[in-house]
Amino acid sequence: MLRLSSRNWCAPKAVAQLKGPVRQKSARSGSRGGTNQADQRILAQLYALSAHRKLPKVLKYSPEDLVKHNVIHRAWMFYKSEQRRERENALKVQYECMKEACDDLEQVSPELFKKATTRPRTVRFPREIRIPTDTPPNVPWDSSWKRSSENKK
Amino acid sequence: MSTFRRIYNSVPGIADAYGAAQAVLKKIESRNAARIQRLQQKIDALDPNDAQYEARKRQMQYHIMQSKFRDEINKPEFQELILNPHKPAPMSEYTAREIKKQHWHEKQQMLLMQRLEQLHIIPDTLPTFRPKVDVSLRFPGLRTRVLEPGTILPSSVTARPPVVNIQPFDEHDEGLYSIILVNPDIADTENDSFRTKVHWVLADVPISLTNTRVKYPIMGAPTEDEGTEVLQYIPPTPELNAGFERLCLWAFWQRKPIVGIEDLKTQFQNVTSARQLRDMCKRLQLRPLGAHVWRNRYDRTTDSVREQYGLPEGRVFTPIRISERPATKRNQFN
Repeated sequence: MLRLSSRNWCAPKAVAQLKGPVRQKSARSGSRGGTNQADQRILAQLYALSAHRKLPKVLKYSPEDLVKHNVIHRAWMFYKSEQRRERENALKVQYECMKEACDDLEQVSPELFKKATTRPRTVRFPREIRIPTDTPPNVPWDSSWKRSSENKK
Repeated sequence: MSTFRRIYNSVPGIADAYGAAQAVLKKIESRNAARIQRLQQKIDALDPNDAQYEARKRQMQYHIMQSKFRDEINKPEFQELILNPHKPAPMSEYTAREIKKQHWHEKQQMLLMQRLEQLHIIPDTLPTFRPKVDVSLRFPGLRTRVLEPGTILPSSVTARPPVVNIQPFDEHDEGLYSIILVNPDIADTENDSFRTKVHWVLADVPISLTNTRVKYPIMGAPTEDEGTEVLQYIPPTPELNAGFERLCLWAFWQRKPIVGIEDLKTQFQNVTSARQLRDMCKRLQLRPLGAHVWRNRYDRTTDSVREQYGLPEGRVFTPIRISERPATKRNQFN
């Protein structure tokens, strides 16, 4: 269900509380622009952190369009769930086929089955590998680096 | 015409998307129709002599209802009902009922339980319960659409009995209802305590999903769609300085029509405590399904209500004297 009143709720309380006294103070001191710079920065920070930014935008539709929107949304959800189900079914079929083939292989030749199903023990990617980043590392190449197993030796 | 309406343009492309959505939803409908047909065939194939026949049939009928619900909830008329809680709904239809029930559950039911517990009505009159039906009150002369539970009303408004509506949301909540209006705040100076008083009792009121109004004859015998007024409405007349009076209206579902309805009047008149009231409800097999509450206090209209109904003059309670008050921060300058 759509929460139509969420927009009214989301005025950040902290900002509202801060605004009153801050304005009064600045009016007394006679500075231009309403608030001083430090307060303005706090205000901006609070505004950025407030729930107001995180809430989804309220749809300003007419009642008829809202109804249509909801119907479309429901149909879209149904379509997506259908897609998901189809994909899951396909994976299930694939898995069943693989299992059947493996069972056959086990009966025909246990040796080949063992070779086909055992996992390689070696680690293909070392844990120390650098994850891909946008920028080059601070130390481009560490020539003295050795594998942990080699270090032990 | 409002500015919003004047400048409003429909969302671009919504008509095409809506058409596509309808096509997708047709698919669900046909699938559900096939499912319903299959279930119906299963029901027909059931053996009536089987011990579990009824239970299985009920289960399958429930599944059929759910399938229909899944179909209908996508229809624009029901989506409209979801968006607008105040829109009147055809309560004979399962889908509309479910939507209304959800709206009630989200707001009214929670509000009612909050008020009942915060005003301590629940331990003071009856034990806790789970509301199943929507009880709404309307007083003649008071122009509010829905009376919120716990509202403070003037005595002149509550001088006449309220118009009560009981809206069940399930078919098994239909049937006969009885209504008891209890006031647990009658000051009892002899025992230095408070006494319970029953103000109004109605019994055997037939309520259905579409016929929700509580009717009773003012004179003569009740007709088919009317209940019996066991105890005539006594208007609440609070005493001066005795604080609020909580008027709790309980709606009970009756298992069967009440036997010996003539003797009930004196029995309810003699109720002076919550324990007696609870015993009465237990004996009559009344199951609380709904409640409502309002409050009264002594105001400028109370005396005129007493005069109007020929009630005895009210008592005046005096607050604790200033000299006897403990010296607190609040009254140290008194």
